[in-house]
Amino acid sequence: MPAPNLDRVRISKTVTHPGDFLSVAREPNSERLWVGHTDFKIYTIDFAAARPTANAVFEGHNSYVSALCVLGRTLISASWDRKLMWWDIQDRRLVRTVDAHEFWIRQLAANTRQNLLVTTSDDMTCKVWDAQTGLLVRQLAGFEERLPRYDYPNKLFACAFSLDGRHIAAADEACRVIVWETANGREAARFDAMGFFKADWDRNNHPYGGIRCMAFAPDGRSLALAGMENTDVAIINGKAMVQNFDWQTGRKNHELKLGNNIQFECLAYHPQSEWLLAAPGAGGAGALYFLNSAQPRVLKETPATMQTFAMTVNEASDAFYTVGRGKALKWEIPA
Amino acid sequence: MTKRFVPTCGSPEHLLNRRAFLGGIGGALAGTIGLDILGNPLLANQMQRQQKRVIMLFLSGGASQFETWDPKPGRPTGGPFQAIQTSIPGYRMCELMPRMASRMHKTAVIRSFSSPNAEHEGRGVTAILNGERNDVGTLRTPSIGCLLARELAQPGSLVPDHVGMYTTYVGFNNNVQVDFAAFLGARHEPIHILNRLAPEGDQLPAILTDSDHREREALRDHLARGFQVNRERDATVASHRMAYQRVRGMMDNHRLFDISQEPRSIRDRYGHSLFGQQALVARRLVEAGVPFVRLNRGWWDSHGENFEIHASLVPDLDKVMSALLEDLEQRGLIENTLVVTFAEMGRTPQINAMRGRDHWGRCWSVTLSGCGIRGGVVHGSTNADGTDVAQDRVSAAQFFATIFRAVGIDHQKEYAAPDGRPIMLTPYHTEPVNAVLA
Repeated sequence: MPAPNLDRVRISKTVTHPGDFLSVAREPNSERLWVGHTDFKIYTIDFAAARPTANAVFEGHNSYVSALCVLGRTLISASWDRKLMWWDIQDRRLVRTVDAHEFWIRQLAANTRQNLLVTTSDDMTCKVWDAQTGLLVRQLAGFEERLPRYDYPNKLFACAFSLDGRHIAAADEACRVIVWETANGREAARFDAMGFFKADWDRNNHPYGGIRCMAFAPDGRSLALAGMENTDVAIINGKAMVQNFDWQTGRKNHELKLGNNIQFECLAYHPQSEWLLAAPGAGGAGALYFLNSAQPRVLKETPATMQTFAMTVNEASDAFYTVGRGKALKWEIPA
Repeated sequence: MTKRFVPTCGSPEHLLNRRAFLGGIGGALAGTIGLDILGNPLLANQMQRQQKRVIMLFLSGGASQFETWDPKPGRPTGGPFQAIQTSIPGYRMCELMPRMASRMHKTAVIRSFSSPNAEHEGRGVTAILNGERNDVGTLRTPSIGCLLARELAQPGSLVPDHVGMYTTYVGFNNNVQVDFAAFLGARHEPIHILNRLAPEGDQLPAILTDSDHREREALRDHLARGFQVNRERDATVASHRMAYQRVRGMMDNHRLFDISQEPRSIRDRYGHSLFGQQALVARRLVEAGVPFVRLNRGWWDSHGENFEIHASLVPDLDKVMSALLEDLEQRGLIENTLVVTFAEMGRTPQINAMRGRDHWGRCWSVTLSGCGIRGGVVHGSTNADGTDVAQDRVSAAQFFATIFRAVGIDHQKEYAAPDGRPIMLTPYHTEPVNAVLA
């Protein structure tokens, strides 16, 4: 079967909807998406339909739905209201609510075995949960609650599981990265990825930046981090940036700065590392970038057509879905 | 009927106060710390009884009313934050301000402030800082800070009448953060403290001893007195001499700016942000008799990542403002000290593509606490999405009239412009917001 050809990447279906879609999860081996919105609702979109639409299904959160995960017939949602909710997507009912954190939940990820979840929150903790029961398995700490100088609260934006599930990584506003061993919570590495954080004390007197998303390479050896190199804290002003680290040594392998006035907010690796897809979030609509996994090189750049806040790639890596400002898109990568 | 401006009130109380104050300066001349009022309960009590003071927390760049005083949770314009119950029944404010929420029964909030201005610089900002006067033609009138400094100044005081502190230099080079005295004269312009806790040059350079400096000052003063003979009515000469005296007064009183003099518990209460530290300096200044301090806390201009920026800045505002009010209360200063939150604008209901909020003047919120204010009042309202005033629109002129009245100044008091025409503190027919006045 011929391999997907990045030069042929295109949008095949578009769903428009007012407001911002912030999060997405896809039911395995299907084109059905679950999408979290800034109106606090969770929508479903079936891209297999000839004319897909976004339909609100679940309501229960009291703030932005920031992350979603589908495990079997269960949808787990995370919100800036500090809660995790388990939903039965067949019976369309709420199964469980957990008061998970003391401040916004930024991200949620599941391991490949689908028995564990990890969440990051601005309470500066990273928590591991039993995906089936919702019980807290472990709390991972190590981040500073306050940013250096002037006492501002820190923020814990990003987290990821390694593909083999053995490691969990998280990263904060001050660009500290910590990697733990999943099995015992022991810290395996910590390093600082400079360049994402701007502490503009004199001009604006507040900080800005942070590592907004991260992904382990499929081989588990390197860690990609993304955000932007901001030059003005009042606006999204600067180049989007990806850095690639050997996380075990803390050595930076390479770095790419791309576009103008955009910030990368989601990353996804091809399962065989043929590319790393980076999408721009807040700021200009920008472009989607397919990057070489091992070299600082762009393989393909294509207009994103919207601010992209989340995405998911299908099993064959020949289609992916992006959601963001006013739209949800299906992309195809034909052979 | 309007009243002519009287430069000094000359009341016996003020004279007594001046004697006590100058006693401190006299101590300074003998080599002790001047204006040691902070450690002298008798003097402090006297000041507390007599002098009205104002601290303006100016949220430079324009804080979001949605993420502070007028949240709209669950509305398309509301953003991610939730609202929490305050100590005023039925009034909820943003969850980022739990400390202030618990003490709102002592503060008045106006949610229906409205202004044509939606910029950080230029004529709109000049207009909002001087009360949006459209009754004076091309005449440049003083800003609210300079008017308050002038009105509340103690005659002959050697502490400054007006201090402007700034956490950022954004806006400092244009006019958003800077008060202007116009025809009132330079004395009422602020002493600027930019990105630090004390004015530059408040201490002698290492090569100059205090004794050297005093000898030079004595010689300068001797020569100046000679020069002033037959020039007693020359305001420029008098102002020149006064400026030197005030510089010396400031140097004698540099300890006012030294917050290490405060107990650790107090410093911790204010927090360790620059804004918090400057607020503590502000309290020390008003306690020592500085009538007007404007704390410019920036930079709130959240065109991008509005919620991240407010998640950083609002908790700091909450901590600092509540600490300041509590501290003023505990020192018995709150009855005579008005604390105002103000800005050049609010922020848009619409959330833009950078998850930001842009400039907005049509409806936003201001607050008043302390001297002359009826706490627990929520005046005015906005519509469900916060896109317009729903009830009781309040203009800058009305707001300023309210401030003047709260500190006992007739807001229709009349000044004489340089060309001789009468100008009132606020435009003719302006009414204060009586609902928030005690």
